[in-house]
Amino acid sequence: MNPVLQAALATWEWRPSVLAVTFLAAGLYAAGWVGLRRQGRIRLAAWWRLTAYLLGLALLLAALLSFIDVYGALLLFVHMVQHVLLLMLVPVLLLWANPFPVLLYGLPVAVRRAVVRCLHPEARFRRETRRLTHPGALYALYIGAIVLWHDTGLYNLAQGNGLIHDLEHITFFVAGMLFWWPVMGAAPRIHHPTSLAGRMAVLLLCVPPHVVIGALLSFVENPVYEHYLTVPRLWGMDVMQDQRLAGIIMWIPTGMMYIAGVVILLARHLNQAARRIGSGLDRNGVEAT
Amino acid sequence: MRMRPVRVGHRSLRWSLAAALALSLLLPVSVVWGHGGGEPFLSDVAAGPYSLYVWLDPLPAQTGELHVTVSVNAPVDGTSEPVTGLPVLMRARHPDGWEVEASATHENALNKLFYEGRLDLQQVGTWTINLLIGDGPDQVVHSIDVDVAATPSAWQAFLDWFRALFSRN
Repeated sequence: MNPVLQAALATWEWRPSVLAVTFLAAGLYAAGWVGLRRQGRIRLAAWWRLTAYLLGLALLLAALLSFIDVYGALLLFVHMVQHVLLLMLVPVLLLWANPFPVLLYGLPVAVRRAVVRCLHPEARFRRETRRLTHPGALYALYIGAIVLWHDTGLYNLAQGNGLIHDLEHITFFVAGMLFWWPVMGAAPRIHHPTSLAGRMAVLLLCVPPHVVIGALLSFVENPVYEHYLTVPRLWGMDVMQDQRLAGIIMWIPTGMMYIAGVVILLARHLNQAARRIGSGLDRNGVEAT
Repeated sequence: MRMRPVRVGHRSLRWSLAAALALSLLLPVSVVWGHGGGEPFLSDVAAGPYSLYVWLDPLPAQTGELHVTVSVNAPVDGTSEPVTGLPVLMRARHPDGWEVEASATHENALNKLFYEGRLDLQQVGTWTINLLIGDGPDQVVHSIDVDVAATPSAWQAFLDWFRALFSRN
């Protein structure tokens, strides 16, 4: 086996804090999932939801603890893969599982009631949260985080300082979870339902910023991030090859994921419409005349 | 959202889950404070057939344990690749005659392509650290001088850390 690959597979940073929280999050979900199944609420606690949630947590661990995190300091393209995981794949998988009601079920009754009180339609917390998390604001936060952290100065700063580097990852993960929350329609559904067109538009609007940053990284003739000039090279890849590959990842596969999201939304909509037509109901579930 | 109240069976389980919730709220803090790593000290410096990268933690060095991470690279097709599996020994010498020695290994390093060792440097001053890479006739020795200051008080250390946070380029 290639020694670099062999070392990569052996490189794990067992950070107890990350491990503890992730396993506890998995345990809480599992407790809620079992409780819901015992109550016969199979739809909320489906096997595929559990699989998606655990896969999301596994990818989160891989992004933060495996060679992806460590090699990201040596190769820009690996760091870009880490960003894609934290911004897109992990949030999408976690939210696909619609974890909120399941996690809520895993909590002690008193805590659960307190959370439900906070989310009551008349509750101030709910109103303020809805106001602060308007889908437009979440889009701005998401794209803002991506653009901001790819700024040359801030990127080099993050690479030279573990604290800022971790803040970057937390920003990406939180911004990703918040952005995908209304797009995926996951609970708690405190916003007015976003129309299909609205959700598709938001996803399509994510493509241009990625294309611009990706194209800049791919076509610029000098290394953008000085940090990578000061670290050993791997896999015979020089700084510019690494940068071009990172740009391509940002540009094409990432852009394609948003377009795939649009296609999935459209397919689900058409599927639901076909089922409604088949059952003779209109879009509000009322029998068509 | 309507939720049917469901009782979680055991009191201990309830407490465990509540603790899980509390811990999950600490995730951002714990992630932020959990990350380590050294500061670059040497970058792409020739040493015999190799080029070396060295990181030190802490840097500026202070009395106590100094983590030294070394990447040994050899040229391959116009670029370089890390060389693994070499014995790497670190010998530190103080002008007043103190000597400290430690091995740098892949096992100690976070990145298994690198070698890491810990030197216990208890004296203030300029330490000369010899990096002995490989063994036998092919052994390469490279020296670095590291200024070691007295470990500051906890309060001074916090102020230095805070200042460094905003002064780094």
